[in-house]
Amino acid sequence: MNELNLLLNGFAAALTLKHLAMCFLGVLMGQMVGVLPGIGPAAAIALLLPLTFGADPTGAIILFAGIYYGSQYGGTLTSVLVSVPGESSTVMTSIDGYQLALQGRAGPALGIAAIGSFIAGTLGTIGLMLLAPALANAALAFGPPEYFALVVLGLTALAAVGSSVLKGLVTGVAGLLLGTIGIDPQNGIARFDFGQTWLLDGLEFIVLTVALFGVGEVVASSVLGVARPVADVKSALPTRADWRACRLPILRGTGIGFLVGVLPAAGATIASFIAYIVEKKLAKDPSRFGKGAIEGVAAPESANNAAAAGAMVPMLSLGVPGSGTTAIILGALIMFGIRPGPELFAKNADLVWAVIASMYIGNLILLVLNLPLAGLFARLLKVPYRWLYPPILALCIAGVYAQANSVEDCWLLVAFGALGWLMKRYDWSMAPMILGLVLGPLFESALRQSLTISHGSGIIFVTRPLSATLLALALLALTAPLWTRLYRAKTI
Amino acid sequence: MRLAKGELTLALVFAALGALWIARAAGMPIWGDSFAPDSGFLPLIYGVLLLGLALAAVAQLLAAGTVSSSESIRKPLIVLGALTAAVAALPLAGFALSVFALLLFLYAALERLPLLASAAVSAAITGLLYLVFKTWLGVPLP
Repeated sequence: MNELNLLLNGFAAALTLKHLAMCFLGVLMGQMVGVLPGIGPAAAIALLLPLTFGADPTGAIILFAGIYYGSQYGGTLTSVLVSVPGESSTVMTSIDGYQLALQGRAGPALGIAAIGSFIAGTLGTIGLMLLAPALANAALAFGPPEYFALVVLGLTALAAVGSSVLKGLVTGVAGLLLGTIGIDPQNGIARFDFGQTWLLDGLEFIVLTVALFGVGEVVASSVLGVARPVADVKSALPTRADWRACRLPILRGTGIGFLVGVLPAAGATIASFIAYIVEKKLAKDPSRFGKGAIEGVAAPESANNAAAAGAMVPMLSLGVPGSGTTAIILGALIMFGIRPGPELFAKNADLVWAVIASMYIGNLILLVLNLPLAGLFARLLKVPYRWLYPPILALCIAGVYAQANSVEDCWLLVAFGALGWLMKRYDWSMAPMILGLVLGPLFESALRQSLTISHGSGIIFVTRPLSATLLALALLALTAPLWTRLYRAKTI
Repeated sequence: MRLAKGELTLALVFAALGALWIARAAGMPIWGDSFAPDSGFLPLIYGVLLLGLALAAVAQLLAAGTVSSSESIRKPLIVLGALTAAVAALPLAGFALSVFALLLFLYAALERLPLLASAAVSAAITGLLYLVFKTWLGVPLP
């Protein structure tokens, strides 16, 4: 009942003109960045960080969340129309989606994806609403050792999501290491400032995020030249037969997506893969899959949208992000002076419930946008990247300069932008680096406090049940790719 | 198979960063009086971890003999060079001129788009950014 009241308050906040505008802008931008080549939701949020610095945190987080789940809708367009997944979570969609496009059924494929995404997004948000406060409540007993273990879990989980756990760990530790630049808050000693006074405040989250996700991605994508040929979209309304075939796959995909999304080290990509495999296993005629089965679009699309809502559960309740984009949203919360984690629901209930309410509204806006306007968004695919990336670079310079009026930060932008380009080029995950930088101070203070409590003994981390469980989950996250590989080898 | 030198360089950059942190942290107080780590403890641990993990990545790359990417690096390097030049010009030429020159170079010289259209789009984008950051957000752009 209390949750219902809080949700109603959330709706009251989300339905104000300002927050409604932020929600609309967020999902619209998410839809667009999902479609446009060379820029993903993480980069879009990174570029907007300087513009929202010092603004209303609720509006900004509503905007960022809208970009995050909106991009899941947009990524579908590229998968279906040009067989180039806009996001890794839409890879499975492209298998049957593109076949449907070749058969002249791109519209119904996009339509069922939009409807499935809406249902999954809405049900996923209900799941988020029910699960996250309960999880946060259970985690209120967290002390310094548990916070230490939470950061370990967050970093290992995010490292495990990328192409290589080893590379993810390298970048995660590099982020923690960069987080030690500046004055040590414990005793005021200057660390790693290399005699430069402008480094005493440390490396700013905005600078690193814009450099890696803005400049790095743009430079890596600058080789994309001309636009690709795009299939035509006529009516995006699925037929009755399509709907009958997809009802259950949408519901199954939603369930799978939400559960997988909640787990650390899993996420939308694995969720869409499992949902597709499950539908293929359950199908009367599995040979249709890969040749244009509409269930092969509905199930993974529902799964990836439900997973996006599911990934918000550990992010909001524990402060453990499940993806690069949620890691940046987490960093944004800290930038606004809000401590993510179990206390978020207690101390910032207005913000959290307004964001949750905005997700219901945003999913509805996306459905309305996608059914009649799918053809219009498809035209964005025809925009050549060479027109897009120069303004993004200019925005990176302006944004980074604006946050501290510092040309030195612009030099850091160039240096970390070059590093980001190499990381993108060789598929080294950038999100753990951001998370390491953001959570570094919390990690260090939690370690110091824990060891002070235990008189210097590290055994405190494994003798406390919650801390030991979180560390065990971190170990599980590290070995998750191995389990996934074994599962794939068995199922394909 | 040809080794991806760029990726090897990337791993070595991380290893060097780890080594730098070890060297610097070794000169800091490591353990405090109150049973808790001091300023140098975690940086030292991070340095050791980063060096170890990055060297493991180097060993993995050498063992796998990873194929280098077929993508050209010429264009990304030019884009990075242009960005560097624009940042270097910021204190001298100011924001508007530096950004306009960067945009015009990328559109007209690198992408070989029509000069007039490139100049018009560059001016429009520069003006928009100036309006948003200087006028709307009150940022004292150089």
